Amino acid sequence: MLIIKIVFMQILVLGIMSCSENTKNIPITGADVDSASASEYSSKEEESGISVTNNLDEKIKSNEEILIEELVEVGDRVFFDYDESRFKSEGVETLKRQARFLLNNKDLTVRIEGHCDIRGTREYNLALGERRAYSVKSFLVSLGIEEGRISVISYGKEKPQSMGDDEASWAQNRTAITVINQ
Amino acid sequence: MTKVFILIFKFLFISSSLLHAIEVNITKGQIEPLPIAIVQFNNQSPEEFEYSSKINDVISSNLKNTSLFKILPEESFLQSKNEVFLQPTFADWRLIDANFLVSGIINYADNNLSINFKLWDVYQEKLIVNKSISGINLADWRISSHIISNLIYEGITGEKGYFDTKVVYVAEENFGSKRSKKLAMMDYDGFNHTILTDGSNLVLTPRFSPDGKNIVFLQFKDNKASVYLMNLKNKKITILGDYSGMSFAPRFSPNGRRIVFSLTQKGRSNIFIQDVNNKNKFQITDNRHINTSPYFSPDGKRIVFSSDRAGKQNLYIKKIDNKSGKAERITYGKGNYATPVWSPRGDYIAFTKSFKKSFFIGLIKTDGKGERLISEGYLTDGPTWSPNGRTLAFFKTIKDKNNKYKSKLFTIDITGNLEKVLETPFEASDPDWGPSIKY
Repeated sequence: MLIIKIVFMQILVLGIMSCSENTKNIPITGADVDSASASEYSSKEEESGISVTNNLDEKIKSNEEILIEELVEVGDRVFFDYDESRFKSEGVETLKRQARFLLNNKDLTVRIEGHCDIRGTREYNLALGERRAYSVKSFLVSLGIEEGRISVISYGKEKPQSMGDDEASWAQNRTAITVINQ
Repeated sequence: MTKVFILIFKFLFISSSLLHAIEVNITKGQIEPLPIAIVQFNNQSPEEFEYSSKINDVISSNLKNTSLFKILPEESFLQSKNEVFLQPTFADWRLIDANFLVSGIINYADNNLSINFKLWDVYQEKLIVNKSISGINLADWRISSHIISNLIYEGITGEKGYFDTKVVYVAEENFGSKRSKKLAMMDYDGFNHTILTDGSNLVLTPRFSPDGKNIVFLQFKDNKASVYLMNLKNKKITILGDYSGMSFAPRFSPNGRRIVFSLTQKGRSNIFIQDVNNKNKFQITDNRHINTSPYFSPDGKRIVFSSDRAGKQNLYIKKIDNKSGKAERITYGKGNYATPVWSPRGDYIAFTKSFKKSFFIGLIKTDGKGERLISEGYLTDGPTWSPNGRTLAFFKTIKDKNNKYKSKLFTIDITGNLEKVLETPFEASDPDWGPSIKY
């Protein structure tokens, strides 16, 4: 049983690696595991109206993947106003939920990734992203999470979450995202 | 004539700095290009003809690139080409308004080229430059053309040429999460383009050492951002800023023995100076704010940097031998000031400014006077000086014909004139203009 579990884990790790960096888009596997046969049957399914569910799906999820999904549900990111490193007030509840999540999963370590919108110079934004990530870290620490479990990294404006050039996209990009270390 | 030319420059400087009364306004002088005749170097064999043609093309393109010169077409020449080298008939050249005249003789023997060339001031009927270059390996014909261009440029303007220099930059490809960034290097005119990193790690802000043999840059590796050094000869990469916080925004000291950079701790960014060899470091700023983009003065005694200690980002200058000394603020205008770079002549500091929804490249004297903005864009950043302090390169994001934003390199004369794209095979950012080679 243990061996089978490890095999499943590997499949999942591959699945995670092949998906985008956006932690929101963790693929529900199953289809990935057996995509050829799935596509073969898909047209027939439509014709007959019969739907086939792969029950392996649920079992295949690793603890890690479940945790990542859980963190996304809890809220993995907080947002900032322009040139601000104090997160918006809505973030307080998100971070309280994150803290509860981390208290319930004591063996996890996380990193906070700080991001900025494009309206700043490259070097200043690296510093600003760091300050944003650190403000999230200190809040989580104040809620009882051990400092050593949280690292910070700034991507400045180099990895925008949204590519648009309007205020709505920029607001998405002024963020600090909590990511589980693998 | 040379004096007149320099006087025109001086006048432009004064007139444009007077115009800066309005805080956020692009100021430009005006430059009338000088007509120059470049006669193909005398040649006798097919090899000599081939190389004299190629060398002539590179010299013309170099001088034309500066936009300070108008290259006169060969068809307009009155005197026969072969005669010019021995004795120009100045009246013939004045008739087509050639202010300056270049001629030479090229020799090919034993797989080597040798060149003797002359530059005349036509109106003064005076020989200004008469130089010989020998032992040119055929493979070095291009760099030799650049050296000749330098000597012509120096003869006319009295300023050092920069045609033999290289530029490093960040080459950017693809969009969204697939965006890749690689370090790249090329001759100042875009030739000899090479990619230095494979794109597997995010890399930013490459900066030349003063001898042009190494670069320092920021690299993200194993979820950590740190300052690294690359030896350009063997492409070997070693870490310089190996700390628990992020080290970033590196620059070499003028003697190449130290780097100055920012280091983060508890969300703060402070400035440090570190020995390249033994990695001993000492701290320059110590506060809870963002202090970054440090840059040495040409004498290595001071640094200019950007800090938000007074709320918005402003530029400050600090002596490095006096740790407790106060940093002097030099900018007081509207908006944010960032990425300062000290002119190699020492008199000006170029910077990036953001104000409302625009970005600008600007210049300010080291005492905080005479601020003027010379370029504007949706996003501009990263000014870097040509080695003679005459031209700036920077990057700017502009909309292409499909309405997509593209990041490109630009150059601009410090008068605010002659802004133009420096073509690169990829999208480009973070240029750093390297030193002239020694000859």
